[in-house]
Amino acid sequence: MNKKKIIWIVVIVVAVLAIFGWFKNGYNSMVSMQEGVESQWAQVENVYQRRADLIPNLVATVKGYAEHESSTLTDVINARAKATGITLDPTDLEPEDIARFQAAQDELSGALSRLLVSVEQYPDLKANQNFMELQSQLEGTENRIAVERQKFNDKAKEYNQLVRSFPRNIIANMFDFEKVGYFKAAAGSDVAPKVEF
Amino acid sequence: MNELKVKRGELRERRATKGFLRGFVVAVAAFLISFSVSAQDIPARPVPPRLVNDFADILSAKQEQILESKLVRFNDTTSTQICIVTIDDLGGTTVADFAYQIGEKWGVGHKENNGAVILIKPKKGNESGGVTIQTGYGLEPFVTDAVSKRIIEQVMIPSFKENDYYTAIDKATSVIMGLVSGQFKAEDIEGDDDIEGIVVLLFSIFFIVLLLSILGKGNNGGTMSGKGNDHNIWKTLFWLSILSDSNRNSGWGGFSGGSGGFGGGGFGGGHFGGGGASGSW
Repeated sequence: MNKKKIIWIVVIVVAVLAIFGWFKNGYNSMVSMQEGVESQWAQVENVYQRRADLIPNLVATVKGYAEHESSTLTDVINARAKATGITLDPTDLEPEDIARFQAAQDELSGALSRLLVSVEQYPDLKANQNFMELQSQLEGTENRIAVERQKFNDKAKEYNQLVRSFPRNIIANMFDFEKVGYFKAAAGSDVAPKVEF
Repeated sequence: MNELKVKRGELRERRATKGFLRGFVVAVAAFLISFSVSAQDIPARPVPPRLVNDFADILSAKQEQILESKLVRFNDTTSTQICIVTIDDLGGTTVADFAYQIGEKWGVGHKENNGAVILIKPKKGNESGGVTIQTGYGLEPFVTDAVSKRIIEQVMIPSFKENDYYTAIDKATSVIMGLVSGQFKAEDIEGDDDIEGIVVLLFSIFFIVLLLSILGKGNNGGTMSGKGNDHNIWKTLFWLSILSDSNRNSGWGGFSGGSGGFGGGGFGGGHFGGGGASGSW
């Protein structure tokens, strides 16, 4: 009798330890992956911010040469204000939030590429040293945006797979690990505005 | 002593065949790579790692070697890796994207992300040529987008237009080196590894000599017989020969830029974020 009791206790202890270990592993890997997603999101916002920071300088430079483009310039300024107005909480990157963020940024991309196309008619501006530098910075920044977005999507995919696959989704549900959204490569949105002349 | 000499000779021979085999493998790999690229793939990391990868074959063997040793020397002194890739087919993507993917896949640069990829797609017939400088995260502050653009427009493209690819690459790498030099130190690991190895060897020699002298003493009840002494000397010589061999090995590693991959274990896992600039002519 006593022996049986001891065996039962051992079995229960082992089972509890195993379950605890499984929870601990699952939870910890979710936490570390969530951290990865959050820090990658910071990188994404970083590069978008970098672009937003270039715009005032760009607008000022263009203004000096192309007075007739005031409506295009206003579009860019407004789109920039709208885009920088949206910042997301990196701990809560729901698909709708990311879609909203992306929509605002894509609008800015569109306004920017329209501006750069209209600038074609101003040879003096195109030859301006400051403008050429800004253009190359803008080009590099668009590349950076594409790269960081892709990296974010990869991280998000990895994380989503972890929190949504059975049986780990049990842990994810218990501790509120939610699926995060992706950047969508909507028609042409992943293509940087053409700034090569 | 004669035995040792024979052993060394054998080792040297083995190295020579190894070198030949390596060359053969590289040739086959390059051949295969040139095929996989046309299948819209990013070429695999070169084995042994090379900083100049002339897939489009626009450089002569000698030019390649000069550039390779220039870049290897720069890598050895500053741990900054500038990787040159020339390729005919971009598999439908842009030069910037192709170069970025090479940078990430090969891990150009070290842990400070101090790598750069210069990709050249030579002009062919009506197709315009393309060139890009992609900088790793760590290089972005020193080789900015605007500077990269200026290097491309003012240094590289004028030479490209004269079909002088070598001068373009040589000048561009010199400019980048000037911008970066002094910003990064040589990778610590290389030096540490060498010193560590020597220290370990010295300790083991010391330890074995000590052990043998103790054993010798124990066996012979305190009197050192001639035999015991011989043993000591042979063992010591054995270890010394290994020591000198390993020294020569590390020396070889340092100079082997041309054929056997570059020092410090090749590419070091640097990351890229799309910084840099591109141009076409």
